[in-house]
Amino acid sequence: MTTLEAVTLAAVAWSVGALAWAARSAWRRPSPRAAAAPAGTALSGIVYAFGAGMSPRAKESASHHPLVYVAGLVYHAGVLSGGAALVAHLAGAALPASIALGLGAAMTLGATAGLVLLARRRSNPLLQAISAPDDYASNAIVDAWLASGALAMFTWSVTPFLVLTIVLALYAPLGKIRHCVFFFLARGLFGTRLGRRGVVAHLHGSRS
Amino acid sequence: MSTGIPLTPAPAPPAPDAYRRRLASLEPETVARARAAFAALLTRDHAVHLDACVHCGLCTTSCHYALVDEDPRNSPAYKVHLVAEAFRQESSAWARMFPGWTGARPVDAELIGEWVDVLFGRCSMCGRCTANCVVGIDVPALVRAARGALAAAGLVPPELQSTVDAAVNTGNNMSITHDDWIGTIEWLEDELRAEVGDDTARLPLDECDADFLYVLNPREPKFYPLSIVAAGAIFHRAGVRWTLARDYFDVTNYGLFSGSPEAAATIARRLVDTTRRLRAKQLVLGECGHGFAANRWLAPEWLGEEPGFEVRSVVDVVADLIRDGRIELDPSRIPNLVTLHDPCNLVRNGGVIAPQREILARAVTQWVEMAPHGYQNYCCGGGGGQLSMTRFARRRLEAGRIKADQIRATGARIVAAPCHNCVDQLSEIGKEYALGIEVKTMCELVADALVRRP
Repeated sequence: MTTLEAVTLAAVAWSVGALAWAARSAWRRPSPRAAAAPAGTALSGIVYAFGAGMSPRAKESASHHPLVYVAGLVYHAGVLSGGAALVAHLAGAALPASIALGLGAAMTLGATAGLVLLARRRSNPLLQAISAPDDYASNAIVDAWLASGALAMFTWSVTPFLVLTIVLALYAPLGKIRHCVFFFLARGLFGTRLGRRGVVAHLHGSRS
Repeated sequence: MSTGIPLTPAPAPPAPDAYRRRLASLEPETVARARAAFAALLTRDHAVHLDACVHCGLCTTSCHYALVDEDPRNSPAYKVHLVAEAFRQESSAWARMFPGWTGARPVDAELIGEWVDVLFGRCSMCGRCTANCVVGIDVPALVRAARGALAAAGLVPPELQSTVDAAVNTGNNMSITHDDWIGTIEWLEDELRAEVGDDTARLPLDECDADFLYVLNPREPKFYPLSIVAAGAIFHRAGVRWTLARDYFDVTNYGLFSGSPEAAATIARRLVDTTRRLRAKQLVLGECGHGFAANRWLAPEWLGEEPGFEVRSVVDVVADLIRDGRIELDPSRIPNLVTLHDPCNLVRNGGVIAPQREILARAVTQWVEMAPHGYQNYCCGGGGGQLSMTRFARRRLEAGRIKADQIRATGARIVAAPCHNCVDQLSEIGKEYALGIEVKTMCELVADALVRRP
């Protein structure tokens, strides 16, 4: 393992630890006990939240904004691909060329989608009003990381990818990228509420 | 007979301009109170949702305020943003070190002014944004937390605060005196007997061991007394054992909207204690959306205990009575096309979605859903305390245009609305947008359709 790889691993470890600590801190805040008799099960809501509730038909944020929705999907598919490429590299696994090209393509598309979303944030008056420099920086860091990952897949030059992994890993727990953990917690709470209140059973066919 | 209700009238709210003047020159102690209260009110769920929001703004097109006015402040994302700024300041040392970079901001006089304008004045806490959010951010809960901080600092808009104060001080939000309440029920009992043609029909008061205690919106005895007669006619015809309470009869809980958990708990406690005092098997909540959400779902959290009895909506009860054949309906008595409004706190946030549809299927000749409907239906615009906050009335009516368009598209002449707050707002937007509609509660429709026995 090279020094750069060791530092990368250390940065990733910091990131995982800090994100876990942030989640734990939030989770340890006071939470009123849900004492009302449930009308349904929390599990049914959680299954919905991570299942059918993720479909574009289930929410207008997707169905009313198909381009942004697709860009978001492509962006996050790129991030997952970048993560897979990183794990493979740190594990010393040699990726077959076809897989490397596939991951590289996904990261290229992801970086492009990220730039589209960044441009949207820069040009939309509402998004300008609710964005801090962290919002732009978080996007830009991930875009650069994806681009460097794609470069690594296409040229086998991993140094920029590892350097940017360090930057990303160090920054992730400090800003908006924290949502990579909190998304799942929030979605779980959303589903729990829908399930307990018996809303889930009626969720199909509410549009016409 | 003493009822325990203090009969002192609620204090008059300060003139609106006094409130504005106060906001413009807030004392440091008041700001500090709001700041401390905000920090204390933040729960696990708030923290998780605030850290999960990706500031994408895609919720904007799901909000009736934002759909009628493109001002960014109407977007739910902006509302979350205002709360998130203060949250970062409160929760993260990193954010406090670099506030310009992270978007952290202390609760100060300027932010408080924005909270009042945006979180009180541009949100009905309907939760449609949550339903359509990429993540499922609980926007109404975040808005309520910030409102609660303002409540702790005495900065709730006075019209809303006076509604809460009236409930806390007099036992109901319209300050109806004990004598007026009892007198109204006695008068309405005569009306009920005439309506059902049975001199034994009653509007029972304080009867112990009944099947259920029925609580209602104080607008009913004050403005819509025949709504009480309608419920009474249904219960009488079904032969159920029910009762009203002599003291606490108010289903509403505006503490939910002012954000004050203390006021909300005080109000909720009375219905729990009254149900226990009368040993009623169930607490049945009259047609009030937020009253349902408050008493069915949130009261046990505010009180920190299970009630020990079932809490149900009267809509659910009436649907049961129809299903069990305990009342007979003649839908031909309501020949006009009916459409159904879904009160947010009963449906999207409450889970009562099917019973009102079962009722309409049996009580009226023809009815049609709005588009969208059910979980996805739009707010009428009257929730979140908007009906009481007259200073924001113009915005409320403009936001009601979305609901007006929905109603117009159905071609219905009657709008069924299982919520008295919604009835008021729908009636207002009916006039504002010349819809030519009649707005009725479910009980009123069912009572109209009851088969008269010889």
